[in-house]
Amino acid sequence: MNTRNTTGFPSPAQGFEKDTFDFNRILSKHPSATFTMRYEGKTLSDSGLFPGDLIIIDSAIKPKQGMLGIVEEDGEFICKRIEENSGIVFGIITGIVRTGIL
Amino acid sequence: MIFHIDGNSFYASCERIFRPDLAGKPIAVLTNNDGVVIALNQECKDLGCKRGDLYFQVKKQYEENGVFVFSSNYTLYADISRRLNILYSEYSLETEPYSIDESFVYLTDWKNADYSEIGREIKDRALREIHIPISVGIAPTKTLAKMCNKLAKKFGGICNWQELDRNAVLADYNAADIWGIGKRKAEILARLGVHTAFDLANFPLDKAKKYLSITGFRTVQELNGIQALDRNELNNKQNIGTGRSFAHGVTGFSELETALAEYTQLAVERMRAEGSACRIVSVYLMTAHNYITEDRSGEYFNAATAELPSSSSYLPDILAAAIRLMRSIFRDGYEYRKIMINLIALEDEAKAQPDLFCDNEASDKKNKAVMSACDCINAKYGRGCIHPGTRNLTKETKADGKKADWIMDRKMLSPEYTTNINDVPVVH
Repeated sequence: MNTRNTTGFPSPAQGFEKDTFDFNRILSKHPSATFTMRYEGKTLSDSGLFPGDLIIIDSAIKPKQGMLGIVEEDGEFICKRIEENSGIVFGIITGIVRTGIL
Repeated sequence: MIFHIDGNSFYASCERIFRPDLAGKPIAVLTNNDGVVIALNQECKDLGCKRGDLYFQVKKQYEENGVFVFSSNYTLYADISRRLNILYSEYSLETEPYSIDESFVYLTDWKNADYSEIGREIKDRALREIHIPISVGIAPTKTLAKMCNKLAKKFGGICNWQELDRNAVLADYNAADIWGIGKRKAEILARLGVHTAFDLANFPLDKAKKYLSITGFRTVQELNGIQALDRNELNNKQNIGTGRSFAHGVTGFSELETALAEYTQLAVERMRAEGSACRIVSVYLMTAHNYITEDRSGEYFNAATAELPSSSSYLPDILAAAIRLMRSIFRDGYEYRKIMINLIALEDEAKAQPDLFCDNEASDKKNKAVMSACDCINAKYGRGCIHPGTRNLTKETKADGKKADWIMDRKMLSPEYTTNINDVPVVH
């Protein structure tokens, strides 16, 4: 991500530079409906979710049974598979970002 | 057709998004420095709490009633506002943010269009996708759309002027509650026997001009379904925006940059003319929405928001932030049809919060002198005669990632759930 600011009126190189690919584009299909949370649970490692993972949540996707999502339960957000009788679904998990693997 | 859309108890609704434990609980939000209550949800209003309550006076009462109190988290509200405007712009490029929680959206006048159905769809999507309840007023003019929005709060969130018993609605609506008619004008009108919107709609135009000036004249026209207010009149006390749709699709970054620079300059000029400075800058970038096919592959709507280290009316600072924001949302390969800048969280330039990290007095003096000189030259030789060509480093955050506004007293500030990676909600 850009930390240096390259602003102002046309720099000769502007418009020609080829940036590297953009993770936002890969991780977020619906920018206005995409939210990020941090997973700190221990029960979903079979689904590939580990404590410390950043999870990308898309609220624009219609929840279907079996999808991994964020569900409201007893005034708390819980990360789990959507079931038929799941309560209010905040959104569906569409991606995981795991850093600091070294 | 004009849609006026606003978030219900917007600040309180934003605070609620990541706090499912607050469902059904009273929520109040305080102003800068935690002095005054500026927003409350319905549950809180039902307890008899009021907007404008002085917090130190009501603190005990709030505590006894279990009210959840928050400092205003403008970073969060601006981000949610940005998301809502992205959603609205999928329905029309002519989306005009009027304040942080309300927008006008202009839809093409189609024959046989079911505008109420479109309104319901926007409302459902806002709740499901952005988790904010909204109300939608639909009418042929801005003034009526705003009136319908107020009525929508009683009608389940949608109110379409065309489906109403118009005369009965107008007769039931106080003249003082009409957009653009303040308390003072309402008093003048009352003396003339005009008490309701119906009375005002039937008030002779020449008299309206005589007693209420040109704005009142326009209000009367608008009440009669005649558009009298400009589309791009975005100015109000909390928000200044400019932006246009392009005649043709624009693909290049530098072309967009030029357009953005021009609109930013216009917005800053307007803001400076009002003696205001802004804390938050938003940039919107959008392609056209294809109504004909289901193919969405060529569509892209996005926006980005940044909080300046301190309130500013200095064009190079604001432009630097704007262009940096555009860079963060620009994607190659789209035909862009509109770019828009929005300056939010306006405050009196003279009272603006200083940034402790800057040598304020010296840089302020210099900036003011530069900007006054620019204003003078542009006034004399035409707009855009002098324009920015500088590179300026805009600090949005301090080294630790926290924004530099700790000068303000905001003891009950909620996390920056959506804009700071260290603040994202934790789930199990």
